Amino acid sequence: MITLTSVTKLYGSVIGVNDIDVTLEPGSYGLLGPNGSGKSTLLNLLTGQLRPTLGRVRVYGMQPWNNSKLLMRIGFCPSSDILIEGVSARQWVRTLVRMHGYFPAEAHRRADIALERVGLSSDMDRPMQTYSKGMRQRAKLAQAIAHDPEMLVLDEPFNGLDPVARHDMALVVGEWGRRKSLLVASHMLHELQTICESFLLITGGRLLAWGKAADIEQLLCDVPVEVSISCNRPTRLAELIVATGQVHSVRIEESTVVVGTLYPSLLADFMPRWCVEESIVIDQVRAPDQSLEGLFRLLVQQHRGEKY
Amino acid sequence: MKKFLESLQAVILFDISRAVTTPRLLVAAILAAVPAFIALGVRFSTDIPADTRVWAALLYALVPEAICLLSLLLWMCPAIQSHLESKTWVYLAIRPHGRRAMLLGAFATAVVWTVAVGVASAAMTILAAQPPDAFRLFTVICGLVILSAVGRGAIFALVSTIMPRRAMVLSVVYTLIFEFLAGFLPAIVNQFTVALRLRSLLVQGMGWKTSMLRELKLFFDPEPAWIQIGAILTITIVSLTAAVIVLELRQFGTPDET
Repeated sequence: MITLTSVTKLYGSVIGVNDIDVTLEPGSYGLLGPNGSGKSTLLNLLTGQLRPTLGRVRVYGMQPWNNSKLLMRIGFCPSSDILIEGVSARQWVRTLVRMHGYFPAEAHRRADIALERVGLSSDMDRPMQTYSKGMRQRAKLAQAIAHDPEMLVLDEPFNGLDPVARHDMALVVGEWGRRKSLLVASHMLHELQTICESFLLITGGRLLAWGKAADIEQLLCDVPVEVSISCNRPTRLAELIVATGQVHSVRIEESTVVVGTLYPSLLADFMPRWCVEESIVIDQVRAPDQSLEGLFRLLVQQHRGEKY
Repeated sequence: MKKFLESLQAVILFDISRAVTTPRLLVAAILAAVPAFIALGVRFSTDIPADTRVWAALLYALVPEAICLLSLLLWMCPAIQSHLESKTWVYLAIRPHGRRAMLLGAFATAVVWTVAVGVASAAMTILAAQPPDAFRLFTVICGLVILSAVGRGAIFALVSTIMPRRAMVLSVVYTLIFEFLAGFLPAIVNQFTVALRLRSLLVQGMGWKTSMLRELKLFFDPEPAWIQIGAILTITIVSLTAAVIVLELRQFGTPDET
């Protein structure tokens, strides 16, 4: 479906995306990265709004730049808000569907169906400037799905939505992802976990990892995790931990010992004995979550050259 | 081609539907009425002779020149600028032929709007002025309004596409330097202006060619009307083609790059 070969995009001297190589088969993908990580640049490259400075982009075997045939097969929902005054969602979506070459009657039918699917039927004749943020997001989604594309590309579709609207949006997008291909960019992993089966982690314009959720979680095995232990004798506890020889790093932050290790469960084995024999009183033990979010944080730290 | 025409039609209908608002209609009505008020003032406050040439010159200066230029400046430049600079651009650009449909749609809408204002203005002004040979004057002025809107609309479209952020200012500068200054220079440069062609068509349309003062011929092109019209259409096609090429080649990312 998508093939990126050594793709780099520069904005003058600023790097948008940096040497990305990836091939994605049809499916639902979450593109995860912090703000400014290159997600939108990547999506703009895929939808033909930008040309790569280096490398090659192919979507359905075609180069996307100014490619009308490809644009028929893609639905794109950009992150930017819609600020058009005096126009209803129905009028706007109908116009955009017509721009795909449909005759008015067919365009109107498709627009109405799309607006119904996103739950905007009852408000679709109101001017869009009177819409809430959630309604505008739904109108944006409607314009992306109305021509029934093979692949839906969404850039931050959950931005600015309240929890109820997020839930509703996730249902619509998730339903789409079960039938057709989907690529959703977000900086919030938990939003993507429910609707995507595979993930791409990007930061600083670089693709850190990609694969199915289980594949990425497997990466945790090779990445040290940080366990923070607050106690009354941090120096002594640190000595004992180092003596085990199973740690990657140890540092003391006031009354907390922060341990970087590949084997956090070992600490749990030793700690009861240390508490009894060394009179160490442990107030709190905090381990990172073993979710994708934890992994992503670790990968970003690793990418930035931060210590564990 | 069929898809492109559907797309173009969609943009034109969308832009026109957005244009029909009370404030915009009010501005258009005021714009159209201004020459009529000036004509009334001239008619009742001066001893202007009942000569078609005087009224034709006044009407030409007011309608195909002033009103058409103002209407285009108020319509063409903001239309392109708002599409390119605002966050709506990407929604059009991700459609097949969306870029050129947006540009040509905005151009066509501006031309339709300007012609409507210009023709209404010409009608009101002629009614107010009551000049001799009114019908002929009206038809000539209407023809010039159409050519003025088409030719200058295309030039403004190109200027707006090249520099969307300064579209209005650059269009005004272009008008002052090329249309008003270079257009009156008896030199090769005025051959490339719409103003020279319109003036020449006015002279020919009103049948003044033989009776025109010899010195004034420096400011008119004696070539036949079809050459004048052809020149305006050439300027239009070249400008629009250049604008489409600029738009097709330029990379406009979404405003919120992340």
